[in-house]
Amino acid sequence: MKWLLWRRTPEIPPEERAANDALLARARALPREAEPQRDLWLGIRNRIELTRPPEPTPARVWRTRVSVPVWAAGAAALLVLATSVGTGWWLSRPPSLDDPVAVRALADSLRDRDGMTGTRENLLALLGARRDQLPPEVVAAVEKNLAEIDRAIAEIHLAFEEHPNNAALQFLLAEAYRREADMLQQLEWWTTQEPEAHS
Amino acid sequence: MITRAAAIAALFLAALGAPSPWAGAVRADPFEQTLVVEPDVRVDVEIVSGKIELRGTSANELHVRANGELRVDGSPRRVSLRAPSGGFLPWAHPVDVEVEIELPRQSRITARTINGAIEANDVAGELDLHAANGAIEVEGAPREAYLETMNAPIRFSGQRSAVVAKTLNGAIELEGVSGEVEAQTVSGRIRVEGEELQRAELRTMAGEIELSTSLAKGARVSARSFSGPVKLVLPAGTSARFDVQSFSGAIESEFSSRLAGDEPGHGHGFGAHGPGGRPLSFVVGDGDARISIESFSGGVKIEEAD
Repeated sequence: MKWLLWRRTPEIPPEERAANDALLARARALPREAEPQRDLWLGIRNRIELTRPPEPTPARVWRTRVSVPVWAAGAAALLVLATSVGTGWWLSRPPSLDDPVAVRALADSLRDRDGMTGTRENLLALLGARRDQLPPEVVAAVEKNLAEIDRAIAEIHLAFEEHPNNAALQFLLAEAYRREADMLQQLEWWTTQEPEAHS
Repeated sequence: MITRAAAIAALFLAALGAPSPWAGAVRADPFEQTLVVEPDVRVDVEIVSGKIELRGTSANELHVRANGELRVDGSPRRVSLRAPSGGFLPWAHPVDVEVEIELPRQSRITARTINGAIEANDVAGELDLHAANGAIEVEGAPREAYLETMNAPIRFSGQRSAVVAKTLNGAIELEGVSGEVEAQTVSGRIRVEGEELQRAELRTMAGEIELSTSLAKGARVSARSFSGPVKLVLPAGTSARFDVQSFSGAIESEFSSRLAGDEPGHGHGFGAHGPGGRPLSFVVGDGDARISIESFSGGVKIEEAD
């Protein structure tokens, strides 16, 4: 404001001075600090970003890929082919009989086909309900031999795929089912005829 | 006869020394008692854990010794001996009782133990022995024997005895058998030595089978092993029809077959019949006995006895 005062010289006409004084009075009435009514920066930033150049187009990417050496592209194709073949082989290979879960699944599918699931289910239910009535060694032996029967049925299952009408396989399969039924009978006998307790 | 039975009953009562022994006499540790019984007395023995030893004698009395509590019930015709079980889970708090019984050789015996072995010697009557978790060993001349375990081997040595032996997990060895024989196990080998077998049924899932016997006229023999080899040893003059199949094992026979048109004295080396080998049938002699053998992965060998 000093410069306005300094410029108030004698050569200023009175009507102009009056106008200046009025202006000065209005200026003095203004607040000492001023804040913007709203943040305008967000709008400004948005407008800046809208005007940015677009991202590189796919065509530009394609041009980059073409620059890969031919040998590398061939190797990649070979890798894709090998992976496909490997996956196909993996999916079509015979299930491993070292995996008890796979063995059980194979055996169960054959039992299901032959309507023999009931015996195994009854056996497992009985074993579960009465395992406390037998020495742990006997329970372990039952479980071990159930796995043995599963394995035999699973092997027969795989053999059937190549020789569906093989008579010996039918006999052996029937034998495995019979062993299972015998186990059920034995387990029932041992756990229902508990020796008299009179301690 | 009535007088004799009454006398025996009186002696039995006197031996028990109780006004009413049939109501059940409990004897505490140690236990020893002698009872007069009939020669073919029926004896039932039952313990949960321990050992049962049976020994046949020529006397008409039953002498029992036990190292623990034992309950005795019965009559001269039937005696029952039981040891307490020791609670709901006897193997968790085992009360082992060892029972030794001397009894008439012709006694008809039923014995049962869940956790212990059974041994019978010099017995000649019927046997019905069950041991879930203990071996069964028999030596004698029982006419018939039914032997069963779940998790232990069975050994039997008889004289022209008919035997049924069953286990889940254990080997079966039978000697001196005749007439009808049945042996079944899931995991374990089966070895049978017999004579004049009329019917034999041998079954194992994981184990070998070996049968050495002569056959009665019209005999029926069936042997099935899933993963073990099967070996038959038969006398040179055997007359039988063979139906043999091994899915992936070799088949060998020392017998000449008239169906195959062999030179007498020359055997077969059938070899493996390829994967899933076809059944092989051949006749030796007149072929009146029938022998069928099936194996999945084990070979089959049929030999002539020396």
